[in-house]
Amino acid sequence: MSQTAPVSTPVPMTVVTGFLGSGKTTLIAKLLRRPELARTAVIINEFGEIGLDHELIESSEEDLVELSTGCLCCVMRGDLTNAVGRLMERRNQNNSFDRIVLETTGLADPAPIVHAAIADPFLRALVRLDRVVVTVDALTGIASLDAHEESRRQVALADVLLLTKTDIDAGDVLALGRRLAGINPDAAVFHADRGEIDPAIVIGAAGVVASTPSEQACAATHHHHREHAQDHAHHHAHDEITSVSLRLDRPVRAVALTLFLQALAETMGPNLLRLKGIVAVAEAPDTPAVVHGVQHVFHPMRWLDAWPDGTRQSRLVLIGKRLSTGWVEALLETIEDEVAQVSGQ
Amino acid sequence: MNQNRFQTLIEGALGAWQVDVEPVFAATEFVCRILRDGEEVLVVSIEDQPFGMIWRIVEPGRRDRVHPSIVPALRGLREILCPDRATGRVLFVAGEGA
Repeated sequence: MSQTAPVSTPVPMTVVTGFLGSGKTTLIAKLLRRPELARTAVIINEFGEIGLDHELIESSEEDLVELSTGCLCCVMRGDLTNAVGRLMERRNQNNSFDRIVLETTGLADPAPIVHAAIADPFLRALVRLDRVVVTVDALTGIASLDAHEESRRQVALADVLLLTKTDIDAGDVLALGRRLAGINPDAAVFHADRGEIDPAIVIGAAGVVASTPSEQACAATHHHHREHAQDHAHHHAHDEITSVSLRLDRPVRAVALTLFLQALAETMGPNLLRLKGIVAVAEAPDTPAVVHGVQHVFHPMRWLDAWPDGTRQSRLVLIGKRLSTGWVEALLETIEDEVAQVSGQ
Repeated sequence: MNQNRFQTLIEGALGAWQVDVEPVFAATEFVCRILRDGEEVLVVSIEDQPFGMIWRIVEPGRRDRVHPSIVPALRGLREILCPDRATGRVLFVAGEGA
């Protein structure tokens, strides 16, 4: 029996990003040797006149596409659409892969890529965004985060953070973990020295929402980092990207939740990088809603059959620039009050 | 609504927009004067009406803007204070919700 997905089924796509020299290519090259990724097509986006990364990755020529016209996040949709289209044409002919790994440049902002993958009708018909994996150099990661907005935006949008080169010098790994958790407390963190990582972490089949079973498993690994992060305010005076975590014991009316998302998107604009969470909606409190958005683009809410841990506590994580916890809480409370007033309750 | 929440809502939005203004809050009313270089740019207030709370934005020389909710009130503030600032509109995309 063939294990190949039908050609018409969107192919899962993992986006691998990370700052310059953080080990993306090493990671992918190692992963492609694993049998779990035997049927993987690779899109490599190289920045600069001479592309090297594609030379370092062993893959069959026909399942590898190099984009060298510029940084993918800048020239984005046309190139990515064309690359995916070319790959899918090949797949229609020879059915040679079941998944795509997209490696961005080290300077890429992954947000436009994620946008395109979930919002572009053509791309969405071809690929399903699986997860955003970000490599972070344990040696230079903090300096990159300090100096480069691109690095912070990459971390902010990660579903999985892979610390690389921790075997060379582990001195600052805990500090780096705290810093990463301050930017993106919801991402799972793993070590991936020399590209060694369980392929299931990179190609998780369940998707990108934090409440998926695979990511709940990841959360245990991240717990250590989160404990340290709680010693710090989520806001870093020297870092405009902040994360806000809300926990609510009360259910939220669906219309209030929608207005809240709208107000966030309007007020924050492109500075709202990511929002994800699990929410008790008043109209259906037994079946929590999974909310997932990148900037102002949101997936339709997905309803779980039951609360994963039985707590019935809504949890929302927002990542953005100049977000204030107090403001987010006050905004939601005000909207909830207004909706209750209108509905006479 | 209370004074603390009113202040948080205004200050949080101004901080997010990074506009160079100074909010001055009344002690006992839901009134905030917004100053730029010491000059009053606008006044934001909340009033309790028989049909509910309204947000009023008063801009010198302009007709008052009255909003029934925080959502359009923030939109109105942004349009006055930073009209060129990029905004977002929630777009729910069809397909698999991750």
